[in-house]
Amino acid sequence: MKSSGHTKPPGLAEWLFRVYCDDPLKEEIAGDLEERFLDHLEVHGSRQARLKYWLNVFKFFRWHTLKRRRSNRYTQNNIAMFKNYFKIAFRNALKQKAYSFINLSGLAVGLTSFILIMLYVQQQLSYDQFHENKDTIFRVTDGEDAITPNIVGPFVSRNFQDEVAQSVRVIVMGSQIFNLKEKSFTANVYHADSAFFTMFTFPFIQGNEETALAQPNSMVISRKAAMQHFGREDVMNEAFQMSGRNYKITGVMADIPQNSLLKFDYMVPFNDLRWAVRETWSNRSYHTFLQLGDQVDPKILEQKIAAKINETFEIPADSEDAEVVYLQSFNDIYLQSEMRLSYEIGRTGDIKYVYIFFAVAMLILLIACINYVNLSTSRSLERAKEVGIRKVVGAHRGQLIYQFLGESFLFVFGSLILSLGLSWALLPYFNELAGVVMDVSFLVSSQFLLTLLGLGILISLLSGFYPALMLSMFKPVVVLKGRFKNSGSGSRLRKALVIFQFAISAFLLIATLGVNKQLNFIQNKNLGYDRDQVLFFRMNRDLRTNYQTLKNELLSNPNISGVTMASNTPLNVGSAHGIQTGPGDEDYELIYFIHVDEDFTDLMDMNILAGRDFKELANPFNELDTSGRVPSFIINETTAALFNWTAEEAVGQKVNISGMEAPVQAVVQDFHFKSMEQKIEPFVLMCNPNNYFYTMVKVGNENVGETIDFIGEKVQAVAPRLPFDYRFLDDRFEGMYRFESQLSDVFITFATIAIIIASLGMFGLISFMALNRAKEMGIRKVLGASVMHVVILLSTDFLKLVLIALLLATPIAYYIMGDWLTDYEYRTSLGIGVGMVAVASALLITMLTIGYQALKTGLVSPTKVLRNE
Amino acid sequence: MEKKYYLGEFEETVLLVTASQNGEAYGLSITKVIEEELGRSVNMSSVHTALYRLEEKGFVKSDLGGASDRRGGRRKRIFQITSMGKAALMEAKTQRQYLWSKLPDYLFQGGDS
Repeated sequence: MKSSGHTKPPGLAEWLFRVYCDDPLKEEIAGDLEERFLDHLEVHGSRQARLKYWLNVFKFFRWHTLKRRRSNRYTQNNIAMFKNYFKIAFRNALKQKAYSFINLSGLAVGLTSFILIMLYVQQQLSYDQFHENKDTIFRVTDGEDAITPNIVGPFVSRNFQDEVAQSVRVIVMGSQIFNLKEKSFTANVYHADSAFFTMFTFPFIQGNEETALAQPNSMVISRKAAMQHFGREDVMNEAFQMSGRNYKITGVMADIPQNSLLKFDYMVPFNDLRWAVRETWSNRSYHTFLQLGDQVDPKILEQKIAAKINETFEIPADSEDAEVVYLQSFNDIYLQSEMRLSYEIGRTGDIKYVYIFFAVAMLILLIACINYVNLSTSRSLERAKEVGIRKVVGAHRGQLIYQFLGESFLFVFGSLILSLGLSWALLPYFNELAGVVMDVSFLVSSQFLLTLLGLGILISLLSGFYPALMLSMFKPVVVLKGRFKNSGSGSRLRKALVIFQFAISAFLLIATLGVNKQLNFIQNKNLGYDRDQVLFFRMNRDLRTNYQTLKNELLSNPNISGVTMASNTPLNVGSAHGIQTGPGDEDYELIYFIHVDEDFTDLMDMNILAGRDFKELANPFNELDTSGRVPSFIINETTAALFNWTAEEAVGQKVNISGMEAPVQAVVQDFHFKSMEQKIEPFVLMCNPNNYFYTMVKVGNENVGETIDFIGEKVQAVAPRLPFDYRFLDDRFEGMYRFESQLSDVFITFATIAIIIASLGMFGLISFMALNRAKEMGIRKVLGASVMHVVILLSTDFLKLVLIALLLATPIAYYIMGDWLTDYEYRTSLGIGVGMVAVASALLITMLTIGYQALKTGLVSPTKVLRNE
Repeated sequence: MEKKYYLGEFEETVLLVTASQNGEAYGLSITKVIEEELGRSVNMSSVHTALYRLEEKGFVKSDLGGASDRRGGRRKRIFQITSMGKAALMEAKTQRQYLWSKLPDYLFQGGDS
């Protein structure tokens, strides 16, 4: 023999063989290879033997050594082993109740959050998907407003007969007064072209979709409305009176689905309505929907339409005033990924929030998975002996991996079933929280269950893979000799994961506080008028005639401090005129307006910067004045700024608004009439007694209920056929920010859940760590360490991790929240306070979580933990 | 014929050696016999492949047997012929003998031909 180093086969070749060869064959073939090597060694010497060993290793690279046999043909007791796996899993779960509880509850809460959020996401994405023509319906917009002049629909239909199959105009009338026999009520009404029901899919349960709107004075109502007013569905040809005109019911729709952008219970055709039939370019209130042919490219068509309009008005296409037309896919309107338009037809969502919710769901799930990984690996010390014994009696590593993966499957599917039950039970609360209506049928749809099954498998693998790999890696010799300690790499990974968990939690915390702060800012911001304690209700002709009587009677009540009339409330301004800003025909800006009476500015507590209110008109209003003379205008600061006037300069200037020329009587301080996301735009208050539709009453803080009853009585007395459906202005204001306040609620809820799950995980970790280090702490105490010292020692590790997490999360959260805030034209800043609160609460939670365990460990008498030694 | 035992030529050799080393046959021992006693050069991996294939066909059965230091403490897989293996060998032999009996006598008489 030559040198002893060469009596072993080449290690690299051996390793190579081990890598490629199937497990069950490894032993016998490697044995043969080595024996052969020794034979060759004796005959040919080391060089040749090593070479031949190498060659043999290559020659064994064949199908039968490469093929992985799924069921091991040399182990026949698979089923018995599986039974054993389950038994051991259950026993372990029962033995470690706290651990199992943390794992199960963490996963269950995480999964429940995920399921609920996914339901929400699905509901948002399903909006308007029930329309058969959804892919070919487009809305005409100019990129700023959702509405168009009423001529646009017919104009496009006439000029592009090849591309446009049909066009439908819709106008949202807002609340109208209905009379049915003795009853009267107000309800929102849609007016539309008669093709409405052939373009949009709202199935009828009575009547014919195609002809229902063909006749003048026909009306289609929803099943809900039919049940409400007649108590039955079969209400064809019943009569209704709306705004003093008689209508006949020609169709009953099935109830409008929850996930429909268009929400209405009453639909009336335009037909002979005079204001709708007369086509003009100035009457802008119409949503124009086009149904295009299958092969028509909307991008090309919108250019053609714009060109045609410009041609009609002889505007050069390259001039600043050239019209632009955007065809917005009906599919996009609800979540409108790109455009946020004024005068939207219904309450829209935002794809951004769908993404955010989805991300939150994923993050929570991730935190729950991390808990599982951390707890399983930290517990490895206890399972190590089992692994060692299993390996000694012949378990392959693959079998152990299966075993541990199986355990994670058991946990995940256990909690999945738990969370399905929880989701079912919590759905009503979640609906309220997120402001949606989803029923349980969502939960049991086969598609959703399949998705959950897939998710379960994914999570099982995700959370079980690393622990399985790590636990199955133990070497029996090391483990069974009892000189086994947790591996350093494992604890490093655990630390990283804890940091990650807390970074996510801290991020959610800061986001929550940020949303909250902005919400408070909006709600407390001075709007430029006083919205508190103002109630409003519709007027009809009776009330208008007897308004003065009513007003006097109401003002006699000491709890009523003001009464005024207006065409609309300042929170519901939907109509605009054009204001002439220069000599040219095209020099005009859109200007919002409402018609108000002389008490309006007082009642609303608006701040008049210069000039006088309407109590003294610059041009006296004269109903008999046929010259089209308009009394006067009160404009806001932004309007004055259009002309570069100061408030004082503006008073007395003549301005032209939609052809009406009149002097500016006063300038009022800017006030918010739209959402805080939008800038304040030009606004004008006009005085025109023919256009008052709402009465507003300012009531005192005391005996509000009685005061409202009093108002109701008086209204009934002067206008018996008018329903007294009142609302409060501040309620309506809250309604505008319902989305934000829901967002904030949802964030608070799920941030709390995330933090709870993460804390649970940390609690589990510190428990095991305290257990592992019990002896060390005992010795420390014997050597004179105080309880405090032990507590600090155990806590600092985790506090350090949490601090790192906070350091990572805070800048990211600040950056993202700052970005979110830029959506608001009027916004708060995050400031340092939000971060301080987040950091303080994260640290406090950490201290509470680990403090208990650390203290418990610190207080244990050293004799207890050391007596076995 | 009711049953068809298919044995390749190399498989037949491996099976015969397995049978002849009754209870002692494993991959390397069979390789050695074929190399040293039959003078054929053979790959150890081919022998293993043949053995596994024979086992799949049911002609041999196997068990993990004793380990030795020469094998680095690894066990051998000891192969034994099954009754089906014996039947297959018998059939192969019968077929050969039948064919031999059909040969004209003069073919192997008188040295040259």
